[in-house]
Amino acid sequence: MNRIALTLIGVAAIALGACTNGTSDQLNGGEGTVGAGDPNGTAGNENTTYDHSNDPGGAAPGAEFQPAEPAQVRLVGSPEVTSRLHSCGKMSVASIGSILATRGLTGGGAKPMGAQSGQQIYSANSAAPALGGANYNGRVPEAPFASTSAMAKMFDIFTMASYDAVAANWNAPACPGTTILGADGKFTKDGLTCLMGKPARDEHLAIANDAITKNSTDGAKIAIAALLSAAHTCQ
Amino acid sequence: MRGTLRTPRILSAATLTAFGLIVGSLASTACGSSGDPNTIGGGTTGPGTNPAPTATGTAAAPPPTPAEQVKQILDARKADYGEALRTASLKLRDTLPTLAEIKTIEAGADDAAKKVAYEKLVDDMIASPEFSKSMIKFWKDTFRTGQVGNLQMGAASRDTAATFAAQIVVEGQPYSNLFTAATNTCPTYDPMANTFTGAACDTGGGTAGPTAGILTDPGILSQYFANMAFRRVRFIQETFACQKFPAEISAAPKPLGNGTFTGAFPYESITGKVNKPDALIDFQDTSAVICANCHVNLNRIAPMFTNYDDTGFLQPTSQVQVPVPKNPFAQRIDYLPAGEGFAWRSGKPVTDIPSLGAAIAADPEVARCAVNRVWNYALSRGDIVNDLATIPNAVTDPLVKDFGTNKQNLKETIRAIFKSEDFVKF
Repeated sequence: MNRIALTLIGVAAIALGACTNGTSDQLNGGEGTVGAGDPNGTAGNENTTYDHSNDPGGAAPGAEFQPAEPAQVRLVGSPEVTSRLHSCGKMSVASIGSILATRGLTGGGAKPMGAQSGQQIYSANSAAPALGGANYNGRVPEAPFASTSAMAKMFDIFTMASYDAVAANWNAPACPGTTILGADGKFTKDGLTCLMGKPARDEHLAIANDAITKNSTDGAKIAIAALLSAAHTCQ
Repeated sequence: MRGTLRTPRILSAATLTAFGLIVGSLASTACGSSGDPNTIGGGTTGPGTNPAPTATGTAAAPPPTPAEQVKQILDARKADYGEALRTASLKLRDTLPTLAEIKTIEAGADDAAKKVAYEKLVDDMIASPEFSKSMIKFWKDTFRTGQVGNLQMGAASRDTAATFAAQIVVEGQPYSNLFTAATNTCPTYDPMANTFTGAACDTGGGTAGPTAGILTDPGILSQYFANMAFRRVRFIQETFACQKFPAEISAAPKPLGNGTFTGAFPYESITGKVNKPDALIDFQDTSAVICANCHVNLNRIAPMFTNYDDTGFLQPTSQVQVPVPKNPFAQRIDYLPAGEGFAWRSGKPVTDIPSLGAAIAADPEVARCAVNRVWNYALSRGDIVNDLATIPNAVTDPLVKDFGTNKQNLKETIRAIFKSEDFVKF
């Protein structure tokens, strides 16, 4: 039985061993000596002239050329498919400001004492970096995808902007003559369409009105914050 | 007793084989290669595909080919012109569509009518002043360069390169002008009037030199100032050729030192200890990395940019240093042995920056790169180099072909992409 067990372990070890890619994350030649031929070593030494960054996007030094294989090939699908599908791009900092301005969310609503409006949160100096804004002096473009901090900041903005949307004097320049809440205290489809920037469906209306039914005080604001955050998660 | 032991031993051998296969199968599954549920041709089909044929069926259809699976997945998408309008508006104008515009789409009786309405709105967006601003922003992000704060005395504006590129797009000029234009390459933009006004680039306290599109833009040259001017070359390579160095791969790589030399130029054609024992930088070093794989190309371009100082202005002498003790200013001999000329690529010799610009403009990969960058922008795929958002040639081949026959008018490429089937389907 010991032989059987040993053989089994051996087979498994061989099979599992095939999974390793043979790379080393260690600089200076990994287990070997510096310059001992580790094709994945990325650093020079006192005998070489220049150190190179361990750039994951670059070709492994000394390795024969192989076309880059993005991780998405294994995770999502073939390049042919993924390159034809929309990805979830981050809302640009400017476009968030535009939403606030064109949708009448500039701080006109009554809000709790001391609370900042969505517009004030957006306009603060700390907002753009949190939202993934560009840092051109650092040669950094605006982030193409949202970070956790960007999503959290957007949620902060949209949550407080909801106070403006439910105000009686709400007026969206991009949606003239539209009201978010009708005379019956329920959401209007045009109002939701205006906020989302795309046609609202019956389901949107039903869920939003359900929030009012369940919480007559804050339900409308909760629904608006949720709709704005969901609709504008991606560009 | 032996008899009683023999049978179990035979069974154990069979069991061993079975277990070995199972363990091996489990282990190989853990590798994530075959059987990856999202890989074309893998064990499980992706969304919108037919279930895999069962072993029990007597007339099971053959599994779809990879090409068929791609088609099935893509065909599962549905056109949604309301969603497309929102996304297009954010990309082309940086704002949501108005309620009236949304209703224009909604009013379409069917998809054909919605398509007509949508395409009319895309045309309107591209003709709007906001499109100019979006293009300036697009190029600032592409170039990673923009003026932050007020322009300081003696410095060049870092907005002009993006503004020039946006002007080329908005006015429908050939994209090649980005590398070959000899005048008015540092324009200004008036957002109130939505007008671009051409202007010569500031020469600061430097000397007058050649003009070659954004290649001689002082803002760009300042932004990418670094030792031996290599960062400037890397900017050109990654931004306009859409790939990192090495720029070229030889058809016949050869083992060298501790690696493999893959350059398209001869290994001995750049400066190093082999041909210049006192070389400041040994580009022929092979002990840790094969420097020459990248530097056979880098060293044929960088010397043309050495005389631009840290503010991007041209000076009579070299302004970039060699990263060795005492930091001497780089000279041509530090890059190339005497007699070796400059080149954009193997077989594409150049003599100066304007001829480099002409070679870049004529490179089909540069044209493809421009189209692919716009494609990735439209579909929110991130940067083609930094985010590894590469695109199979088959996807953009028709657009690249049209780009070539359309005098490299990138605005028309943008229009085509935002009206494409792939853009309006979700």
